[in-house]
Amino acid sequence: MGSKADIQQGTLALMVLKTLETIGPMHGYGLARRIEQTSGDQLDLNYGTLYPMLLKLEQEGAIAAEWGVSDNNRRAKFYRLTAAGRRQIARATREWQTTTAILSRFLDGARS
Amino acid sequence: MRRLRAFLIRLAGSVTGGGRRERDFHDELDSHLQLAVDDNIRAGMSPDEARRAALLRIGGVSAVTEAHRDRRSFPVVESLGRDVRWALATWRRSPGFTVAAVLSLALGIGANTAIFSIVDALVLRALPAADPGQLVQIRREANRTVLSNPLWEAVRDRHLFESAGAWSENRFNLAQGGEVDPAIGLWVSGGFFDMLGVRPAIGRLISAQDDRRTPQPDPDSAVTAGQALPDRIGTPAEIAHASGASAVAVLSYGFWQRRFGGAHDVVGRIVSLDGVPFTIVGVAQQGFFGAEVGRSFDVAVPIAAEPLTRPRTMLDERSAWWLYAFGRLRPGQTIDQATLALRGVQPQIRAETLPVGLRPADEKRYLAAPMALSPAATGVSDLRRAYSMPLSIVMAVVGIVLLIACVNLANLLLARADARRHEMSVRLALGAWRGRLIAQLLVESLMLACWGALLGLGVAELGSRALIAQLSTTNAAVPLDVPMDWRVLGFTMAVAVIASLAFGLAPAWRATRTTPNDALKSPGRTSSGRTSPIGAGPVSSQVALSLVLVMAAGLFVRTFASLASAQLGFDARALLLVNVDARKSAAPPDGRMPVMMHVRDIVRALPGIDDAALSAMTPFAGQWDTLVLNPDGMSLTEDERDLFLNAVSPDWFSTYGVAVREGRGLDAHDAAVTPLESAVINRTAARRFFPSGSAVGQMLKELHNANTTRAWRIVGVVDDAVYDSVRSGPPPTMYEPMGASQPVTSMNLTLRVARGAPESVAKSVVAAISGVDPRLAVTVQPLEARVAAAMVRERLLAYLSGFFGGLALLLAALGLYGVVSYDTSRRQREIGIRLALGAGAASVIGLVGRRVAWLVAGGVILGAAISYWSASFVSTLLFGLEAHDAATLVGAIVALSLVAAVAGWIPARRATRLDPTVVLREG
Repeated sequence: MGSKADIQQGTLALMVLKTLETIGPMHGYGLARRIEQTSGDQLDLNYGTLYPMLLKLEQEGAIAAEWGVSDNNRRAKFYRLTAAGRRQIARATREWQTTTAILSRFLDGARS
Repeated sequence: MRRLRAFLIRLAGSVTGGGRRERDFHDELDSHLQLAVDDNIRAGMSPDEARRAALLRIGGVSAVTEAHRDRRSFPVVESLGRDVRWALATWRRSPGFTVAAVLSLALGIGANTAIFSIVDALVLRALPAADPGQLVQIRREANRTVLSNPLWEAVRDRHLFESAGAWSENRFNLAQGGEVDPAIGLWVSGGFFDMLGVRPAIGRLISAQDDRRTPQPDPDSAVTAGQALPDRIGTPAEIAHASGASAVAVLSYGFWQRRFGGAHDVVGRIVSLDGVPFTIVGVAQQGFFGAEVGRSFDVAVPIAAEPLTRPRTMLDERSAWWLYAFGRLRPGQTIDQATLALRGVQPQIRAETLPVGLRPADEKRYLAAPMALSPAATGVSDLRRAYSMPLSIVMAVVGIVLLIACVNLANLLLARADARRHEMSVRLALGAWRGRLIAQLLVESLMLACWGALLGLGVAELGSRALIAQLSTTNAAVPLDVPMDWRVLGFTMAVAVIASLAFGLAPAWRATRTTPNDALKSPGRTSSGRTSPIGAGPVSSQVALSLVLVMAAGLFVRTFASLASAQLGFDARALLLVNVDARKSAAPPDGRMPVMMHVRDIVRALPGIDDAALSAMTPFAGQWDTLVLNPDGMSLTEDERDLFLNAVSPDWFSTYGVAVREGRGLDAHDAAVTPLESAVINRTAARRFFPSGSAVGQMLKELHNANTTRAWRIVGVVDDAVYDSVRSGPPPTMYEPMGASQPVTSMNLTLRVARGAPESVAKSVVAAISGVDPRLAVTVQPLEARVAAAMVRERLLAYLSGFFGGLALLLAALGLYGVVSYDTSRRQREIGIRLALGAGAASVIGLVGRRVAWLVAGGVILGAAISYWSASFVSTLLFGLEAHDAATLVGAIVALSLVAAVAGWIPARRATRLDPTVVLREG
């Protein structure tokens, strides 16, 4: 086993959005933990990438941010999905599925 | 959409600067850490351990913050914003420098923009037509553009092009009689508007239907119908019927607004052109000025309607060259293919339209010389032909002025760069990257240039208007539109950027050419010993360039001066030209001469008028020449035997003040003899044709064609007078008497006014002529105005080159002054020591003076070389002197040296007043 997998370009945004869709509003730390857990701890998230990504999604209007209070009473900035974010998930999911379907055909074909 | 949204938010973040967002993210990271620490403690770590692990995991708070910051805004824009703020702060500290810099740039850039906007409008811009790239001009030969109507019709009827159209300009009279109310008219073919893709603003435009020449029932009368008309002009309907054309007119948008106040019921109204009523059918779209750049029209009428207003129609004249023609290429057709097609049918076309009575050589040429097409996207333009050379020269001149201004700025910035080296070395020591510092200094230069450009646009707006006003003459207003559009703005921006690089790059390079180590030394003293004296090269080149401009100014000013003071052979200031158009007169054409003589007598009797004369031609208004046979014993070439003609009444010589030198002038008896045989020639003609012995009593025979050979007996020789152009001087000229029964359509009357401005008698003259016959149309113009109009180009060049030459001189003086001042201030210590050791003021001035002399001498040598090399470009525009004129060059050098002496004297004088003790203590 080598090191943990790097996240491919462009997939982090979809992971963030999808996670927010599943668990509802969440702060940056919680999102990071959740993404790592969901990946079965296969991923090692770089916060220098995550926070700018969150900012980018916010600038694009896919998510909105608001200060709130966490489960254990800590003040934290919570991100939630907007309507535009939901549309982006749908679109990105479709594109991702198409890509993987095509790619898997190649991989399968190469094997036989 | 969302990309755009993100972009705008980031841009806003760049400009506002994000203190609040920075704190917000700091809080967010804090809370992130807290949550992580909580988790770690829950997992069983000690608080310290938990905190360390959390920090480790986050991987460098500052790196994350930096990444976040980069995403919040555009770092480049943000640092640019900082540079801009920094530059503004710098300027506030030195307002004098800033104002001088911005003003000199404004003048330099403004002058460039002004000239460019005119070049653009006159030379570069495409016609306001649909798809102008497909337009070609149809030429009867490679170098001859005008066609006869039969030739045009023959080309048109071959249908070689997608569409084709022809036009010709004509001056119409809107008034019914009395003083002429001129309107610029266009004869246009039926396809003209259609070919150019012009749409009507209201009503309709002229169509092929309007331009139809009759289907005559009787083929024999077809040719004569037009010619028979003028003697008795019937109703428009009658004429229209007879010629087959409809008397319809289309107005230009401007004329519609000016004359009819933009009234919408103008369609269907009547406009009288040369006394013939035309029905207005529509108005052309706004901004359409025709196909000639630098001209405009008021009213367009079909070519086929020409017989309605002209006594002798040119429609079937095979040797009347008066029409311009364009064609539109078919889609996919190249100009070469179209030319081949045209030449394919050329033999038939030429045979069909061969003018009668040509000399054999001309006939051969007409049949053989190949017709040609040329790209016509930018239309045709006499103005362009006359001004493209002067404009290129002026464009170069203003470019040089800007260059000189840039050198000045570069020198000033270089001086400041030395002062800034300490600041720069500190910043380098603090880890700034050199490229970043250069960028910062360039932003400062660019901002100076942008302010200069902004002000320059104002200068250009005023300048180009003033220039176009100067181009216009009393006869021909130049309706050139020079809008401040994106082309002009783009040009200005480009000039500003190039200028900012030109004057900013070297100083920026120099200011940052320092080591962090310098920062450690005491400020002010650093490297003062090492800096090379600035700008010997730049200052000398400045002197060289201004010498070139002063030289050019000298040449053009002297050209204009010699033209303006040239001997015309008559006193233009006292002469008033009166054109009398007799087409509507009740008298038949060959009975009008007595009417004209009567008019002359009545006008001569008016108070304030000394003399009056009739003539066929007037000065500076075209030429009438003929070829004569070699007199016995002479063997002159054809060109030398070209003789200019004028038909005059006997009092012409006294009116114009042209003295009879030999023999006698013309008299009433000469005019009564038929056929006319007496003539008077000028001295140039006498010298040329009869170099040995007297011309009086000799004969000159016309070589016209086989049938009509005329001969004149010379009865006198008169002084030379300019005929058509000051430049070409008085040509060999012959004056023949005006026959008493010769047919008249229009006549020129010249009045000599006793005192005051000739225009002052205009009103009473028009009234007197109207009193003879109210249907005579009269145009009045002082001859002086015509003389001035003939020199517009030279006057403009003299003014512009004089102005910019002076400006260049001033800028060079400022540059010299600045550099010498800086130089002496850097050598204060040395000068102080010299003074302390007992050197006198003279030796200090000598010290500074030698430096100035070297700078100027280098510049003068270089400038003289450039002037010599560039002389050939201007030689065709000069008059009365050579482009290598030594006196002008010496004058320019003297002027420049004087200015340089003054510019050097001031700092030299200041240096002699230095107090050695003060200098030495400080130094």
